[in-house]
Amino acid sequence: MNSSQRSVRIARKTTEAIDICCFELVDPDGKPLPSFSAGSHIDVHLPNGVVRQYSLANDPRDTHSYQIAVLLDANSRGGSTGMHALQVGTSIRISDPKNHFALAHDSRHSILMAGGIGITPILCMAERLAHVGVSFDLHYCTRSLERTAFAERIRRSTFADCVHFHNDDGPADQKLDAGAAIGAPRDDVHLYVCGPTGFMDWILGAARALGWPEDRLHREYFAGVAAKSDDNGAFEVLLASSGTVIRVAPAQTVVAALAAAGVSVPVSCEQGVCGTCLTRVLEGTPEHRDMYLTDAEHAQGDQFTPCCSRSKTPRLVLDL
Amino acid sequence: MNTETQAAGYSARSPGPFGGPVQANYPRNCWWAAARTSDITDKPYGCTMLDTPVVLYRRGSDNQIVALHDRCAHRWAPLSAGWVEGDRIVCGYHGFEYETGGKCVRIPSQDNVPAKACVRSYPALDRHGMVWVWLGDPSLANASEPPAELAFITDPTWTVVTGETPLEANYMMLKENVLDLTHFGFVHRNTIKVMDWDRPPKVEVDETTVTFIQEFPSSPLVFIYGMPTGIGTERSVYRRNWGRFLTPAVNLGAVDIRDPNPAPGASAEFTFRVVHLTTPISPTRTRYWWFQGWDIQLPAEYVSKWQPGVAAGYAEDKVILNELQRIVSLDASGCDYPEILAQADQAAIQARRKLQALLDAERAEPTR
Repeated sequence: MNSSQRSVRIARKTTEAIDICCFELVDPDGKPLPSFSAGSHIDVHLPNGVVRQYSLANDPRDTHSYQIAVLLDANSRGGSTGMHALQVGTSIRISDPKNHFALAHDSRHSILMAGGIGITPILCMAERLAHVGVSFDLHYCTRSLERTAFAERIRRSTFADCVHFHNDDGPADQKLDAGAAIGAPRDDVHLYVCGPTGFMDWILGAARALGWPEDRLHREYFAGVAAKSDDNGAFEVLLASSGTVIRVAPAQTVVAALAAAGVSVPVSCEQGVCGTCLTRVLEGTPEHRDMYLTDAEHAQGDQFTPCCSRSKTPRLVLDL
Repeated sequence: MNTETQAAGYSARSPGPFGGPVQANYPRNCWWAAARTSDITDKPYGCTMLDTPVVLYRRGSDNQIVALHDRCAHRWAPLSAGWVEGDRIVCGYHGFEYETGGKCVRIPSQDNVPAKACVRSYPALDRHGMVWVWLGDPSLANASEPPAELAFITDPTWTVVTGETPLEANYMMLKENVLDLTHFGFVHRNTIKVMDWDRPPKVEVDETTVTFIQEFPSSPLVFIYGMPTGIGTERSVYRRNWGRFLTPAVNLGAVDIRDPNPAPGASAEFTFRVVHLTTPISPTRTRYWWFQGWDIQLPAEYVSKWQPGVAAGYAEDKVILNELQRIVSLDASGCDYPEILAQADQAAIQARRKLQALLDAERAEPTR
């Protein structure tokens, strides 16, 4: 019932910046790949058994390849090191593209904020907005020029004038003034942010301080900082894609806890009937309370319905 | 950019009718009802099922039913517009003649018949008063039969009424309708008048079927149950209403009634059965035959009023389902917001899972 998987070949592997590798994935027979929308990601099933999600960075009009960029993480649990070890010509399994970070369809102007490797979905959004002629400003914050992935591609793009680079080690006058860049909320203007948790907290905090309503703030968590478990009888979920740990309070559903952390899971019935929110469980033992899965599927324990089900173990690692 | 960004938020997990653009959600490896047995004679009978034109007739030599692709190999005229001669069917356009296996054996205007001049033939069965056709892989047809639960239809100890209600809607809409009877108190409030279907039923799933079961506390019956059983509408009796997704082509319905204090000589238990046969013409059009039966003999006078009453009830479903399809078809993107499901949809959701498994199996091994 989950999105279908397919095998793709690594057609190109390039070093985009220090510790950042860019991979171009193509169909082994050269056929078109399923189309995707800006902000989409794919699950990558690594040969070492680890599953990671990576945003697609290429132009959504490109039908024959998916481009992902992977930052080598010093604390890698097998995802980024596994990816960086892959060579051109290798086949890997991926899911069809999914989008939890879609562009709003009614925007007049967009503010795109990327922190580090968070540029990948943001760049895809920029390609899309430039193509449809909707104005935007892209602020791209990195530690240094050598760590700025896709800098050359951006400079040569048609939308280069809309992009503002900010380097931590650069002169003070080029550093991001979040308040000035975001400005007061305006009708039909949406803000999108992707990057490390600290970066996103900073940007979203600045926007909220300026009075931005939540429905115009869009975020994709991609590399997080583990929070501490306070072990009060609740449990926590760890998002495999980002390492983000989210605590689920006793009176809270997993979906509600995820939503509070800005992670949206599609839901419909909210009582374990429809299976819309079905989510893969990579580690831990779910406590099933749904009526969707069969007994055998419950026993297998590799998926659960976060709208109503909980955890028998202190932590569930979710394929989100 | 609207549909693209919006559509990305939700993936159609199920082959339900609301999962996006309307598409063919019917497996071909299944016995689908094609006609009533009495419809098939030595005159060709044409129909469309699963987007496929099919012609049915009885061959002269032994009265066996023949099912062929209703499309002459020559100019694609429907063979059903022609006639039957002995075992053969003759195209009414230029007289091409086909034997029962679908091979063209005569072209009146020339002596030679090209080897490739043939139409597909399909396995066909005559069961339970219906003719069933297998449009999928013919080698799989013998492994199954139309469900035996339908045997009551031709059982002379039962009293059965039947009718046909064509739908301008996806066939799963009807199946999901009969898997969630909480619509009784709304759609049929003036006809069936069962007003106590007000909570979700229990649902049981096995390898291929989905069953819902609702036990009702001892209470008086509505007219349509109380009259034929002779229990009336005053005395309180036990009632169990259940239904089952048997195959993509067949749904079963049932009411089991138990009278704790039967009158002397009267039966304490009554069995009422319903069959819903749905055969898609296309993703948005469905042939729908229904049957209702009691395991008792009922007077002709009652039956003559019962049949139109049942037809009126299904006409009410038709109105709402046709409207559903109209609205769903208007939404070209089909997935810009999720279908919100209720607990009472549990059986329908599980039926979609069964259907999806069949569709997945067929896609894994495509049939011709």
